Amino acid sequence: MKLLQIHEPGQTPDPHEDAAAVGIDLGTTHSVVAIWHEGCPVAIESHIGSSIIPSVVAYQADGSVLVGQAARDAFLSGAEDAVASIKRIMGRSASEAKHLMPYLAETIGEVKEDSVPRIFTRSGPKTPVEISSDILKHLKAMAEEALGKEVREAVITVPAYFDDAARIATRDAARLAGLEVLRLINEPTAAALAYGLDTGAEGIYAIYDLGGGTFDISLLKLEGGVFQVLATAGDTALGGDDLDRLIADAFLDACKAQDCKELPSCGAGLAALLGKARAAKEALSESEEIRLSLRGAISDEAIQSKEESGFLRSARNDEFTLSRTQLAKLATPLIDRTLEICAGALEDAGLNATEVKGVVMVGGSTRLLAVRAAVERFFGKKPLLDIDPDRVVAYGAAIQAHQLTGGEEDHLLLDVVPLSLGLETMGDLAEKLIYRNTPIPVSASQEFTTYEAGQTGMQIHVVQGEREMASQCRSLARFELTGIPPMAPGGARIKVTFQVDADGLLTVSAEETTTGTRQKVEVKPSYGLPFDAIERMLQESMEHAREDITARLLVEARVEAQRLLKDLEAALAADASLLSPQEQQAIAEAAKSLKAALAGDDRDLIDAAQMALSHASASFAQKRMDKAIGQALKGSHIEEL
Amino acid sequence: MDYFALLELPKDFALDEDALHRAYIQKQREFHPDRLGKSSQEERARSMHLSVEVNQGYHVLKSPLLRAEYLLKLAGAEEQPPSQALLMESMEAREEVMDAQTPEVLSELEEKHRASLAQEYDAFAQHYSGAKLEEAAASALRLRYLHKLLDEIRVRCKLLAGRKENI
Repeated sequence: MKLLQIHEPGQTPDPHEDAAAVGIDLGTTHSVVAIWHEGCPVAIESHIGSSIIPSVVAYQADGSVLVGQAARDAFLSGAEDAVASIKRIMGRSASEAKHLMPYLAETIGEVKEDSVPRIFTRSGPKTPVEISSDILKHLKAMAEEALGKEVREAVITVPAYFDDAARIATRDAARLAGLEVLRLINEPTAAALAYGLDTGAEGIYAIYDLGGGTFDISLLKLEGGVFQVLATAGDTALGGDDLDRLIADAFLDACKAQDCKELPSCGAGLAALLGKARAAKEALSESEEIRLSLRGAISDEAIQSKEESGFLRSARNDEFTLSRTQLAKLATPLIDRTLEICAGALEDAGLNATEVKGVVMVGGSTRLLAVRAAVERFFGKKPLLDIDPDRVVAYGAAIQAHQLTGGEEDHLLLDVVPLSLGLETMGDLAEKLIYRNTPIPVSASQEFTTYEAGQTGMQIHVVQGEREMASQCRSLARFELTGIPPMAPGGARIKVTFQVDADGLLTVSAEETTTGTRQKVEVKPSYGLPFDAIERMLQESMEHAREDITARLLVEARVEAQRLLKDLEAALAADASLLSPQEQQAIAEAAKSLKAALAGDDRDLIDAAQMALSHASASFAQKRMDKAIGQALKGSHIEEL
Repeated sequence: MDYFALLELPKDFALDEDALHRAYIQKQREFHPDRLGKSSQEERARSMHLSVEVNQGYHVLKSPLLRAEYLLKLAGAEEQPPSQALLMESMEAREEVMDAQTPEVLSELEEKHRASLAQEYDAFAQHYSGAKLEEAAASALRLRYLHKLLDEIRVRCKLLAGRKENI
């Protein structure tokens, strides 16, 4: 079939032409994958017709992995091997994870200080990187299926306020899913890009991004296709999930008042309750008041097991009413916290609220009426709601993926470091080398010296955060500079250089300048995975993922078949006259059965139908080849032959 | 190459902020790593380096204080210790700030020191353009002290406001 592809001399197509680069919004509760298509970004739909994919992974007894709606259903019905909201603990230590996701406490297991958290599933212990990678694999396969192309590269968005450890964890998850990360971009910046290009907005805009698990505020100057971030601030553990918990807590309080003996604090009961809380919250955007009962939220099996604990006895009797006003009251502390963060960002940018021309609302949680009202009061203007808050971030990522793979767009993103970066010095002090809101890429150096006579080594402890004490900042990495020549105290000169690249990732190097002893480290967070662990996991994922391979072979067969059909169509349009009516009919029939095979999921059938079509069109290919050679020869002089 | 040359701006203390911003954007359009398509390791390193320099240059030139100090460094002016008079002045000024108990007093102090700051910038510009490096360096030092003082006033303001809320 290769013979069908005749290209003009000198116009050899790019071998990567058929690989696509996508934009991925890897969210706490939902993820979206989008691609640039005919001049605008388009979100890719799953086979059930939805482009908003729940970020939930369920590990099945047979070893297969469910991602998306099916996994979310499993999670809500209390399946123990379903994991949701994993993004909350990306780049976090096991002890932090336990604190951030208390309902996962049982599964995280024994916690060693500073170790990588592992969640025990039927498929063995899984790190957050692996679980995120399962989500990314699913999105990648979805895109490949929809596009009929291989997807190898992606722009992935992260909360602007993600620290270095969480960014590295995200990059590693992508690598593990077989995606090369073209760029990590900040979610609000991606949203600003999509919004700005769509509306042609110019001036200073605020992006208020309240998602399922994270909050970001970014202030940007939009000007002639340049998106300059002036300041960013946020909280990576503040979002709609927290409100769900507050609603669930209020419900439990109501139960307690009814003298319920045992209440669910983790596991299936709580997952179901959180699902109910969320549904109630969403319904209140439409109605003034809703009633909520736990019945129906969990499976009959679960109900029976809970019966013994005494929880359901009261829950069954209880119907809990939640009004819009009550919801607003529950949400007040969360919303106030976001406004405090907004005030901080404005101060950092040297702006006051009136100088902001518009506030763009991003993230599903901005659907809450109480949030909209509070933002309007704070900024003194109606927030902009004319964009799709769930998809706009993925759209921005797709636009950037297009530009980075050679698109002709002419915009530029100038982003910043969200949190100050520094080193621990004597007395637990954090000496900052790069301040928050410094534009990236950036590089900064500082000289330090020894404090003991004959000191030959120096501990370099890299920290991130705004606190003055190093122990209160986030520890990113520790390494030792060795081989310093023994000198009097203060004799050696150690120059430490921090460099943050356009992905927002940090590299640290240290050098003793009087002798040139040099050491360079790529910062690996203390709780991240060492590089060889990533390599090993990659290896394992290749060896063990039979399902993956089967699915992949099917996708590949489809891609190949679709390409053949497309090429054939083009060839027929150009050269049908080379064929007899019988030949034309034979080809048409073979093409028809291939199309029929493509409608199903049987790879062998697709392969067979493709072979048949290749066979039927072989002589056509030969004739085209002859014609092409004939034409090429026509233009040449005899001498040259 | 110095930051003025990199951003193609006249090497002077007086600076058109709009021109600086335009130059910054134009140079980032040229050098930012995102503007590179598929490229070699070497090209990427070069692009990264230049983009870092443009960011740094913009940061230094945008701030009048950093710009003044940078010009002195380029001119080879020697660092000098603060004069006795400057030390006395700043000590007294800080005491005034620490003693202030009301936001009104603080804003009066702020106004006073802002006026000195503006005057000192004028003085610096004159010394620098007259090639009187020693005097310019003394000016720059006083500017640094004044900026620090204004920062302290701001912190003190917040402290007072916080205390009020607690009552």
